[in-house]
Amino acid sequence: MRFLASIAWRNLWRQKRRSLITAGGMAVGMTLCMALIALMDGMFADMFRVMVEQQLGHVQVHNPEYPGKRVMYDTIEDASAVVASLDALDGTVAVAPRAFGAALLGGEAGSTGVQLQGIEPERESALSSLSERLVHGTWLANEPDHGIVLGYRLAEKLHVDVGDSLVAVTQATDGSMGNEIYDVVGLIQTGAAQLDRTGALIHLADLQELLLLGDQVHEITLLGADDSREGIAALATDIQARTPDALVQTWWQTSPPTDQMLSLRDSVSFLVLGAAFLVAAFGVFNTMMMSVLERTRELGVLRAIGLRPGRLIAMVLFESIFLGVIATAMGLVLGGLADAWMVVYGIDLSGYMESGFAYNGVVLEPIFYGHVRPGGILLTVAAVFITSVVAALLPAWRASRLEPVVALRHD
Amino acid sequence: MSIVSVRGLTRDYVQGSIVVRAVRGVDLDIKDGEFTAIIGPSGSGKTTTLNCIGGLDSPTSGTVSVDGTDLGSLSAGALSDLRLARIGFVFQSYNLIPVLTAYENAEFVLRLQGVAAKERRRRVMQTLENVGLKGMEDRRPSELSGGQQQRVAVARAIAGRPALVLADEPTANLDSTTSDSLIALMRDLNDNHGVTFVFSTHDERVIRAAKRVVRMVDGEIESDITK
Repeated sequence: MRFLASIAWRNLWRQKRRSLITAGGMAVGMTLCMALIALMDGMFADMFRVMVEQQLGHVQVHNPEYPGKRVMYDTIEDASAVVASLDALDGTVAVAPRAFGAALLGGEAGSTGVQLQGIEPERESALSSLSERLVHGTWLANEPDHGIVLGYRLAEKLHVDVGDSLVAVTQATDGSMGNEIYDVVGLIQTGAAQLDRTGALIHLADLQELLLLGDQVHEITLLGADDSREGIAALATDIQARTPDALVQTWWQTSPPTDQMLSLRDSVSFLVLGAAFLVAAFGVFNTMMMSVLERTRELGVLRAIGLRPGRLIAMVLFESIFLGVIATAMGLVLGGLADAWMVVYGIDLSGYMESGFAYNGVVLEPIFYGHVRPGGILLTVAAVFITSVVAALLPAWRASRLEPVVALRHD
Repeated sequence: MSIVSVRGLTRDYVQGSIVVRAVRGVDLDIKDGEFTAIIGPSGSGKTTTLNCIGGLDSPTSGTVSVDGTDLGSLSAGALSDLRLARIGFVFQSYNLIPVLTAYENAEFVLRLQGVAAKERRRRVMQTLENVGLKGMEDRRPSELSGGQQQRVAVARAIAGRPALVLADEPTANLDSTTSDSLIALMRDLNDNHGVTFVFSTHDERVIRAAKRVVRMVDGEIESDITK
């Protein structure tokens, strides 16, 4: 077999220009694939960061009744103790308790229904980037002071700005009417339509006071140090052990649609690879077919002197695989450079979308940076080899089917 | 003892709606150590007969046996194995592998036969010396004259120690001096090394050197003379 491989290698260089052009074509395809996969991976990594790490968290803890009905009475009790317990758990990076309540929010010029979200500002900042989305004013103070941060569209609707006051009216957990005055301290623009139109953030303690929740919350969101599925699942198991009565869910259990969207990453990668290498396959097929046709007589001689059909197939496939090896070497250099450029400089679309790219409630930065993972590169290399072999199968099979006496007459 | 036994060999070729009968019921036996020339005008069926003996072509009817094995009973792979082990070929236009050196061309069959490297080297060097190519082992076909290339082809044909060498017009592309030299070489291999040769040829020099001359006309054997 080594001898056949050696002949295949030498045959490859009989038409040096044609071989290099074919390998170059595959290398360009590989470069484009590596760059596109890096870009897609970067976008999906951003989506993961924004949707999972900044909203869902890796793990969420609820009262088992809360996720289905979202009734304000279904709370986690003794929240401070639970949060302290989870803080002490190995492998947690951020623990953020949250409470929610529907309220009527009114100012001098109008009123509207909102979903008040009670957060601990410092803990929330460790988990989400909402505080970085301020377009006016300041973030909530760490201590409760009746400050409120609004989505900028909500502020427009209520005709209020930073410094204005609003009245929140709601039904407290004891059935009484709760009301309180809040001062607008900041406006956020997230790009996520719902948050911009109805978002109203206040200190957790302020909301607990308004709703008479005491030391209760509706949700505790956690980030783990290990963001792999295995790591998150292990963290969820540890949390469940500490909170046996609570419903502990990983992000993919909390939000299956998010999971489905992020799982598109591999499908998109395969689609990109499939399209690029379908074109490359025609190039390889053409080269190998020409190579076999040009050497019909020579292949007939090999068959005549005793080369078995199977070994002839192997020889042609070796030639194509070597073509793939050369293409891979060229592609890794070019693709590596393209990947490096994507990681360092990215694609800057800020001229077209200053506030970022909003998709399905997720706001991505206007500069798309590449994210390189070994799996993406391996996938591309595998695609080159599969293309090399598959595209050469028909020429190799045809070569093996040559009748020696017919092939020997070929000019 | 017959190395080759041909019985009732008929070979038809279909060209459009016309059936051309190239060989008509040929019976032929080739014995060990023979130096046989199959001669005749173009289209007489000599190359077709040679191709059928070598298992490169299949008879329309009749049988061809080599070393007692009926070639018609073998699969493509088994036929390759038989050619590899028992038959050497020399073609009119040399048909060397252009990317291989003279040494590698001669060595090719031995590699396919699985001969060990040391033994391979010994046999190839000896064979190249026998065909007068000592010192030219590393040259590629493009660096050799026509006569030298045909000598490499002969070396390739005999290096694997076949029972039979089939040579189709081996001197057709060579000048007279080179032809004489090649014929002398093959005759020497026949006389001194016991290699059995069967030629198809028009060349009077080959015919003169042959020990047996089979003349074919219109696909049939017209005469069969052993000198």
